[in-house]
Order: sequence, then C-alpha cells, then structure tokens
Amino acid sequence: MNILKTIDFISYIAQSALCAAWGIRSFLRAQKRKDSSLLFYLLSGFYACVFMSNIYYLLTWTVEDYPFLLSPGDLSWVGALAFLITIALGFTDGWPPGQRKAAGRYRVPALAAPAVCIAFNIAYIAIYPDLIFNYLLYAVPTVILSYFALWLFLTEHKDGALPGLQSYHLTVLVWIAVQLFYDLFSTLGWDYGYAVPFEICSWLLTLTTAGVYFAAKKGVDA
Amino acid sequence: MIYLENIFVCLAIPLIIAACLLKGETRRFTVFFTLGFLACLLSAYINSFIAAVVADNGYASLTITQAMVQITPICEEIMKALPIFFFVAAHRHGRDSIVAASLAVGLGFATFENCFYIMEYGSSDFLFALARGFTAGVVHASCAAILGYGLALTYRRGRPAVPCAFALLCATSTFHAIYNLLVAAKGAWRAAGYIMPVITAAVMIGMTNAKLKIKN
Repeated sequence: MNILKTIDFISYIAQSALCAAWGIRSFLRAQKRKDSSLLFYLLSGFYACVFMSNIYYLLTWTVEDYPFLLSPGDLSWVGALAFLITIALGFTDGWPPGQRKAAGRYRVPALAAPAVCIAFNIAYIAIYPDLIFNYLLYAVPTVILSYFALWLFLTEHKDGALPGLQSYHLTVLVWIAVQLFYDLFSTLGWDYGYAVPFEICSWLLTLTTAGVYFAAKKGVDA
Repeated sequence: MIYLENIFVCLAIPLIIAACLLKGETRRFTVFFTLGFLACLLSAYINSFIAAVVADNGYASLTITQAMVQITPICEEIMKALPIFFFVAAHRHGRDSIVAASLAVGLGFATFENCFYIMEYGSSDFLFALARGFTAGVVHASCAAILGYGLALTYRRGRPAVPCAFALLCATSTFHAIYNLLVAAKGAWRAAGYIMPVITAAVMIGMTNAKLKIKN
C-alpha cells in the first residue's frame, strides 16, 4: 500500500510538472501563431488550472493535513473544464447559419455523452452521498463539456465542418472518460482494493492531459 | 477593534470627489480603485461571518485558520471580480480599459487590506510593512491582472466569454488559496509563499514590457 501511495504522489508531481511545461508551451505557441492564438491561450489556462489543482492537493498533503471537503483545488479543476468549454464554444462561434443547421442534426445523438456522465455521477453520489456538493460541482461542467465534445466530434466526423479538429474532440472525450473512471475508483476507495486501477487511471489522465495539446496542435496545423 | 466602515469612509470620500473632477481613463481608474476598497470591505464582512459560523458549528471539522485558507480566497476573488464582470458586460470598452479597470480593483483591494493590517498590527515594524506590500498586495494585484487579461481575450466573443470568466475566477481563487496555504504554514513553505507573488509579478511585468500582443 505504501508503494502505491508513493506512486500516487509521484503521479501528482508528474502531472503538475507536465502541465507546467505544456502550459508554457501553449502560451508560447499562442504568442508565435496569431491565427490560432485564442485556442492556445485558453489551453494554457486549462493547463494552469490542472497544475494549480495538483499543486494545491500536494500542498494540503505535505504542508498540513486538511479535512477533505470542497476546496480551491476542486474549483481549479472545474476551471480547467470551463476553459475546455470555452474552446468548444469558440469553435461553433464563427459558423455560418447553414453549417449551424447542418450540425444541428447531431445534437440529439450527442446527448449520449452527458447521459453517461450523469450515470457515473449518480453512482458516485450513491456510493458516497456525503460529497454530493462536490460531485454536482464536477458533474455540471463535465456534462456540458462531454456534450460539446461529442457533438463537435460527430459534426467533424460526418460533415467535415471543422477540418482537422476531430482528433482534438476525441482526445477531450477520452480525457473525460478517464476522469470519470478516475473519480469512480477514487470514490470506491483504496480500502476496497481499487488502488491499482486508480493509479492506472491517474497515469492515463496524465497522458491524456498532455495529449490535448498535441491534438489541438495537429488540428490547427492541418 | 477596528471599524472598517470608518476607514472606508475616510479613504473613499476624497477619491469619489476626485473621480467627479477627473475625466476619461483617469476617472475610471479612480472609480474602480474605490470599488476595490468596497470589495475589500464587503469580503471582510463575509469572511467574519464565515469565521463566526465555523467557530460556532465546527463545520466539517475545520479550524478557523483552515477555513480562512480555503474559503477566504474564493470569497475575496468573487468580490473583486464582480465590478469587473459588470464593467465588461455593461460597456463596450477596449482591452486596455478592461485590464486597467481590473488592476485598479485589485490595487484598491490590496491598499484597503494593507491599511487594515497596518492599523491592526501597528506600523512600527518596517519588515512587516515591506512583506505586506510585496506579498499580499501583489497577490491581489496579480489575480486582478490575470482576470483582466483573460477577460480581454474573450469579451467580444459572446457566449465563450461566460465560461471563460468563470474559469478565470476559479484559477485566480486557487492561485490566491495556494498563497494563503503557504503563508499559513511555517518555515520554508512560508518563505515559498512570500516569494510566489514576487515571481508572478516579475513574470507579468516582463511579459507586459515585452509588448506581447493578444489577438483574438
């Protein structure tokens, strides 16, 4: 168990370091390429939020053992989701009316993603009802983001409306899925033997967080 | 006991009169600087209320210090952001105006808070005054600047501006909370907390001087 706790600590540090690096990289990219600067500024905000969230949790472990309740660390994670929602809304902003109408066909199928998110969140609340406020706080932006990610992915996949950004939306969907499983295993708890799948999800989350930058870069360059 | 309302009245009245005499950007800066005082006063009330609730009920087994570390930054950042959000939503100004208004609120907040601390703990200790100026003061200004620069990116984009504003508020609250957490600790952690805002301000000044252009 101690080894797993050490791995957990290392995964937090790794994710923090990676987010710091990718945040700076996104910012520099936004400076360099003016045509896609807003996307990369917002991505640097996303990485900054994930970084600060991890740093806050690490500090509450190491500096002082704080009781587990809604904290600014959670708020920062919600902020990261809000930055991704801003990016998603930004994609749809410049659409001409015809394209918007065509994309409207995929609105109903895209509801599958929020339905899955809601199901996961109902499970969290059923397992650990004490943290209902935390789960609701996470659930709202996750549901919105998952809807936009799937909708934009379907629009791109079927109509090619957003050239090159298909992989970005898919990465965001994978990131949300990993996060849902990560939260599920953390809710089920270490005591019940879920430490190993939790750690696997933790490292997958680190990788997919980095993948968001590469997918956005690929999409913009395409 | 210090009566914050009285400090607010004596500091805000000359600024309000000055705002009536001034024009343009200078007036706006003065108004938002005074609104920073007001934001500080209101957040002091709310924080006192939260401290009283925690002391009476022992909410979630938090101590008052822990409650202050976790809840105060969120409350203060919301109070600081409200006038800026109103400014961005109600008026069509340029990016520079948003950043200037945001900074003015942050500086006003920091100034009022520093006035309170100097009155509470005395003005004889120069190092304390220096530390307040370089740390808490800079944290408020930096958070406000981050909010201002961030809002300036998306304010003309309609719908995306709303989640972006919320995301920025979350980011600044966490930044402020990390500072509070470090400063509330002891030894090297506290030193790290004192250095954090100075480094942030240095980076921001460096970027501003490099005339980094933001293009939507």
